[in-house]
Parts: sequence; structure tokens; C-alpha cells
Amino acid sequence: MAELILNQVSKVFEQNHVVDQISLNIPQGSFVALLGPSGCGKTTTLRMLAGFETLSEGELRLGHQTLATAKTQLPPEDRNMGMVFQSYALWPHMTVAENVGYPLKHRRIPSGTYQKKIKDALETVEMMPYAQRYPQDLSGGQRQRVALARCLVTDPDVVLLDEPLANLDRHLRASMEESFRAFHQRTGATMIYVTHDQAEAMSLANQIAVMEKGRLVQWSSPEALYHQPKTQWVAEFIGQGSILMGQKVPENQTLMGEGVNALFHPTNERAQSAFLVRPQHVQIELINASLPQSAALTARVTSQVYRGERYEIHLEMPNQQRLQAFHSVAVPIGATVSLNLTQAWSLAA
Amino acid sequence: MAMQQTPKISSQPSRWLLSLLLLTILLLTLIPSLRLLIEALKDWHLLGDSTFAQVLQQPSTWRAFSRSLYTSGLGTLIALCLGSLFAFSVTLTNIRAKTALVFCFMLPMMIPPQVTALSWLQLMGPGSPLLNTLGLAPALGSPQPLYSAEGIAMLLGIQHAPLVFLALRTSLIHLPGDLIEAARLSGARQHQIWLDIILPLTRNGLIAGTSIAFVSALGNFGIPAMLGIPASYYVLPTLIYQKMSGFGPSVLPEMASLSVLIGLLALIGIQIQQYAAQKGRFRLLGNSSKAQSFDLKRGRVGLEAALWLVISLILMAPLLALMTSSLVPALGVPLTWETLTFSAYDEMVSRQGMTRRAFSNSLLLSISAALLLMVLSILIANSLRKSSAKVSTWLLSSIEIPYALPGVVLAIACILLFAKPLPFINLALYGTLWIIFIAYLARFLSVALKPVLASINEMDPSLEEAAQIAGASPSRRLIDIVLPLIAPAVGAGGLLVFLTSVNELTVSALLWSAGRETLGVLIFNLDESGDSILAAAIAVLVVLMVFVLMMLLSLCARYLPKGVVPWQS
Repeated sequence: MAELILNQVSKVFEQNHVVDQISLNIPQGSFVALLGPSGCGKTTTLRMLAGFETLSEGELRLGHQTLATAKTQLPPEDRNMGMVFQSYALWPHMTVAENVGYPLKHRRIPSGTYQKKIKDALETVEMMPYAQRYPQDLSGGQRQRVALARCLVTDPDVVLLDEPLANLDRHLRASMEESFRAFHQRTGATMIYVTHDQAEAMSLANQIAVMEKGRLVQWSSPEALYHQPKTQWVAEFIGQGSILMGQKVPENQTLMGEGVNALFHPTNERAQSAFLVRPQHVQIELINASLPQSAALTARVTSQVYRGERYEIHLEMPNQQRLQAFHSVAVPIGATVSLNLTQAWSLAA
Repeated sequence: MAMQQTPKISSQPSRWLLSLLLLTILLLTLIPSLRLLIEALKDWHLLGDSTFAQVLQQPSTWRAFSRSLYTSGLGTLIALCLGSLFAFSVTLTNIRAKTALVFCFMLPMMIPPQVTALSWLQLMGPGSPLLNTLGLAPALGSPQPLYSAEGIAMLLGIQHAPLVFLALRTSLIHLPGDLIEAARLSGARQHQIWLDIILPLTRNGLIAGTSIAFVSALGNFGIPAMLGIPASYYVLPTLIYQKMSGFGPSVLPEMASLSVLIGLLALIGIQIQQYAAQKGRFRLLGNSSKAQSFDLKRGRVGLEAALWLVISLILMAPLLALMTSSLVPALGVPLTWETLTFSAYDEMVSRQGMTRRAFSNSLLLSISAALLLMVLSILIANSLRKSSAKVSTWLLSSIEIPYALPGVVLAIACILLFAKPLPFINLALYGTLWIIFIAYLARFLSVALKPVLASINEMDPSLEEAAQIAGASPSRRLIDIVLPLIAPAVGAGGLLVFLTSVNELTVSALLWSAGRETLGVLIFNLDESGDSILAAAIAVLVVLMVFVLMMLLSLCARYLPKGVVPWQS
């Protein structure tokens, strides 16, 4: 059990850098999400960790043990890792108990312990009553739990999860997320979780690696990712928000209070910076057209979407910049509103 | 922990095993064809005096060549009509009892050609026991109408119609119903739907089916042998057979040239088929919505009656004739309660030493070939999955060669390879069962491999990766995970090999020797020597065996990937 280290790891397929010099230090016991749109190289990275893909460059280490370099390769069967596949990969010709017990067969384990370990693993995921069933008799969520139990049974150093919730419906996802969290707390294993769903990544992981076109663009906690995105691409990828151009300020700063509105004043024509403005930081108020305009910032309502707990309002400022706001009641389309921005994050150019 | 000094993933099977497999495949598939080519072209420097040029100058070559083209061409046309009639009716309409219909339609393909020919011979002509029983027999001395080019073509058409059917149905099944529904909503009438949607989308299936039927008809030996040789009407395969049995190994170089000629003709057909099949796949793949079925309303009964009439003409009538023949004491005798006799069966079982020997030879050959090919195809499929696309395409096409080429070509190639004792070990294979066995292995490897490959490609790769993560070695993964999942396909492949090889005639007709007869050769020889009654009795048993095996395959069809059992949709 030790730190999992990716050092300048690259994967090249026919001159295509699918994974481009990724370096990560993953402390033991952390829950890491590899997040990115499809084709960003996250699954390839996971498969390199598992040993199903070779490295083109770089090095993979688990503590002092080298797992793989560009030349050498420890086979997957010797890595003591567990993996939950997107398709669950339960063997259809084996019962639940046989599926869970299979990894034990390849380790020298006394037969008494064998049965006990299977029982413990199945109890952890509350699947003991189904031990003698076959995978095809189980529901999606149950299959997922069996796949988890199969990982758990050998006490792996690292558990890899490849979009494990992609095939489940929304309600089941919530309960499976809870299972993963409990699993992580109970085993203390390092977990690497691949997903394209930012909400899933945010709610599960304590560290997130955001990938884009094979590169690592940000490696931070979910909170930092949300509030302090490093690039405009991350800002647009994570959560809701608008990118506004405004007065030049230093990069990567959270700006709050009275001064924020002034940054975006329409008369401001000087050198510009890009800002991320989250919709919850945009307050709007209907302007009575007959009264003289007092507010510095105004915008026109272009459309709105009812989201149940609130309305999502889409706005356009007089200088054609678009932004989003939340509001508790509906506003008429075409109406002019006054804006009050309470917080903004200045992005790197 | 051990590190492997190779950038390859260690899930690769060990290198020597892979090389051994490659070598085996190479020996079985490419070497015979190459040997043939060398023999045909070895005196090319003589130009006009070389064997190849001389063969090309002989009138008999071109006569056989044009007859081959004529019978196969006409046969293919018949196959095209029959095959598309059944394919369109079964896939696009709401007729009943489709499974039974397809089963009966596919049966002629699985019945060996010499048995087909024999049963048709029993159905027609003055000696036909069935016609005599019904009082319909033509006058004695009138000619057997099947001993003609058109007779050969008709039987070739019936035998190979299922090939057209299969190719066409594959593209029709992939023809999504919503395409036709969309056309109807756009205002297209029935005939416009056919012209604008169905025909263009199934064109490639039609071309593929037609060319494969042509290639098979070209290589067919049993039918032109049984119907053509009595009338001295020789096509390329029977010409080769006739010269080989007349002059022996001295004409081998000439025969090699003839084989290359027919092989080239077949290769052209195969190329067309593969090209069309490839194109067809790309266009219609990925849409799995329900296939269209036109409601025929009142026309349904009419179509059903027509289809079953065709079945009774092309299948039931000849089989009935065959059965009748096996139950009468001599040709020309009508079957009545008084004349009914089982003496032919009796003779077959009790007295004829040759019969028993042929049965045991064929069973031995086909069972051992099936078992060995099952093992080989597991190993090949398992390593093909992990090798690069380039290697696997190359391997698959080389495996396809001995199966797709006419059987005579393979037989001549085997004679060339094994006529002399093998070098180094000084082992003579010619004149033993081994030479037939090796030819069977080469010819039917593709039959055994295809279902296994389909099944293993259908398997989710993560199933094996999960086992790898769990710590299982490559051999354990093969035994614990892959094998149980592909077992039904392996079994089906073995059954198909058994079914085709136990009745095989084309290859063994040239490779057998006294005491080494096969079942196919036996029926052919008995008929040739005028013992049609005994031949009919054996043929009835063969048909029964085919029927039982096909039923067996149907029973395990639901455990198999789609398309492994040809007559199940």
C-alpha cells in the first residue's frame, strides 16, 4: 500500500498523442476522479494503470514498485488491483459466489478462508442472499454490486472504476454512489474513477484530474475546480456559468463586493480579461421602463427555463455579451433588468 | 515481482505457440496452392511448348471450360431465382411456418451432391421405381433426361440455391422496417418500394450470393460426375478426374495446369463475392429495428402453396424416389407389397465388406478431423483476437482459400505434395487415409473456425480483462472464461465439419485408394457400376444422418451467435 505515481505518462497511437505526459501523485487511500469529455484519454489512462495498455513514454509506480515503463510491463494479473468495468464483466457461466471467489483462486488461500472471504465481500454489498444466482438473473444495480464485491475480495491496493454508473438509471445512480462512498471508507483502498459526468466526479472524489485532448488541465479538489478553474475550457466544462469580458485585472483571482459590477461597465473599452461568473452570483431586478435608468449594468431577457426550484434566466447585455442568472419567479421575455454581480473569477488568458 | 522485458502486453500467448499455429495454418492453406502453381508453371521458359501452354491449346480444355461456364452459369441463374423467391418470401412477408420452410429449403445444400444426383436419377427416366410404381414411367429405352447439360445445371441450381438465399437474407434482415415505412409515408406504392428501396439496398447481397453460388457450382464434382460422365459430357472438375483415373500421376503437370485454370476462375468469383459482401455490410449495419413484413392478406395462402410446391418438387419428390429405389429388388420394378424388400439394407449391413469399410473410414476421418479442427479453431480464434488487424485479415483469407477453391484443385495439390514420400522422415502418405485427412483439415478449417470466431468476437473483452485483473494466467483465462463461453460455437463448428466431411466426395474421389474408400466414393462407385439399388439404400441412410445432425444443430441454435446455424434466423 503506497502512493500511486504517474510520471510523464504518454500513450501514442499512430502518432496520435492519446495521453500526453500526464503526471499525478495519488496519495494512498484517496478517491480520484479522471474527468473529461469522451476521447480525452481518461479511459486509456485507466487501462494503462491496470496494465491493459502499454506506455509509450513515462513511468508508473506504486510506492517503490515500478508497475510499468515504456520498456517493461508488470502484467495485470500481478498488480493486485481491482477493476469495475462499465459492462460489469460478470462471467455469465458462474454464479455470484463463483464470480466473487474467482480472484481468490489465483492466490494461495486456505479453503476455509475462501468461503469466509466470499461471504464477507457479499455481505459488504448486501448481496449475500443472491450468492447462488447467475448474473443474468440480477438487476443492473445488483450486478454492479457483485462487480464491486469481486474487487473487494482480494483487498486490492488500487481499485479502478471505468464509468461504472453509465448504464444505470438516475435513481439507481444515487444509491450506487452511496455504495461506492461506503466501499471507499470501509476498505481505505485508493480508488480511481473514470467518468465524463462532472456531477458524479464532484460528489464522489476528493481529488479530480480534468483531462482535455490527452493532457491534464487541472488537478485539484472539487471545490477548487468549481471556484477556481485554471482555464476557460475548464470553466465552461465544470458547472454552469458565463464567460464575460471585462476590465484587465491579474489572473486567477476571486473578485467580490461592490467593485465587481464596475469591471463590466459598457463604457469600459480598455485591455480586457475573461471572467467566470456563476449564475448564483448574478442578481437581477426588473426595471420599470417609465422610470429613469439608475443601474450601471443592464441586460435584456432572451429566454428562460423552468428548473423546478428556480428559473434559469438567459440574458444579453447591451454590448452583446450573454450571461445566465437564477431567479425565483418568472420574468417576461424581452424585459430589461438591472444586474448586480456579486462575485467573479478572473481567468488565465 | 517478475518484469517482462517486452513492451507487448503479457496477455499474449507465448510466442512459440503462436508461431506453431501460424506454421500449421501456413502448411495447411498456402503450401498446397503454391505447390500447384509451381507445378503448373515450372516449365514456363519453354513458352509455347510449356505444359500450361499446351493444355491451353487442347480442344478438350476449352470444351470443358465452356461447358463448366454453361452449366454453372445456368445453374446459378436457377439458384438465383429459387434463392431470391424464398429469401424475399421468408424475410419480407407474413407467411406461416417459416422455420420449417427454411429448414426444408436448406436441406439440399447439406445433402451431398452425389446423393442429390442419385435421387434425381431415381426420380426420372424409364428405370425409375417411383414412376413405375405410379405407372408414369416413360417407355423402356427412352433416354434419361438428366444426362445432359441442362440436367446438370438444374441440379446445380437446386443444390446451390440456399447460398443465394443466405446471402440475400443477410442483407434483408439488416434492412430495417422503418426504411420501408418511411417510404410508404412519403407516398411510395408497393412496386416503387421494391424498385427504389428494397432492390438497391439488397443488390450487394444478391451479387454476393450469386457469385458464391457460381463458384460452388464451378467446383461441384458429384453432380457433373454422376450426370455428365455417362453422357461423356465433361466439365473441368470431371475432366481432371477422368484423366487422373485414366492415366495416373503421369499427367499431373497437365492436371496442375487445368487446376490453376479453374482455380483462377473461382478466385474471380470469390473476389466479386467478397467485395459485394463487404460493401453490403457497411451500408446496412447498425440498424437493428424490426425487419419489415408485408401483410399479404389473401395472397398469403397462394404464396405458401407455391413455396411448398417448390419444396415438394425439389426435395420431397427426389427423396421419395430414392427411398422407393432402396426398397425394390431391381430397377424398373414397381414398388408393391409383394416387391417390397429390405434386401439392399440387409446387403449393405451384412455382406458388403466395402460398405462397412467405407462407413468406418468416413466416420474415422470426419470425427477426427472435426475434433482436431475444434481444438485448432479455439487456439486460432483466441490468438487472432489479440493479434493486429492486418495479421488476422491475412490469416483469415489464407484459411479461406482451400475451402473456397474447387475441391479438385485441393486434391491435385495434395497429390503433388505427397506423391513422393516426405523428405527427411521418408514417410509415404499417398495411398493412405492420411492424405485424405490432411486434405480435410485444410478444406474444413474455415468451416470450424467461422462459428468460433463469431462467438469470440461477440464476447465482451472486459470479461477476460476482469479475469486478468483477478490474477488469472493466459491459459487459465482460456480454460475458465473463454472456453465455457464459446463452447456452443465450438461444438457447432465441429458438427458442421462432421456433417460436410462425412459425405465428402470431391476431394476423396481423387485421393482414395483400394481399401481406403469413403462414403462419398462408395455411393459414386456403386452407381457407376450399375448397383443403384444398393447406392440408394446407403444414400437414404446418409440423408437420415444429415437430417438428424441438422436437427441437433437447430436444437443448440439458441446458444449460438446469430448466423452460425445457417437455417435459423
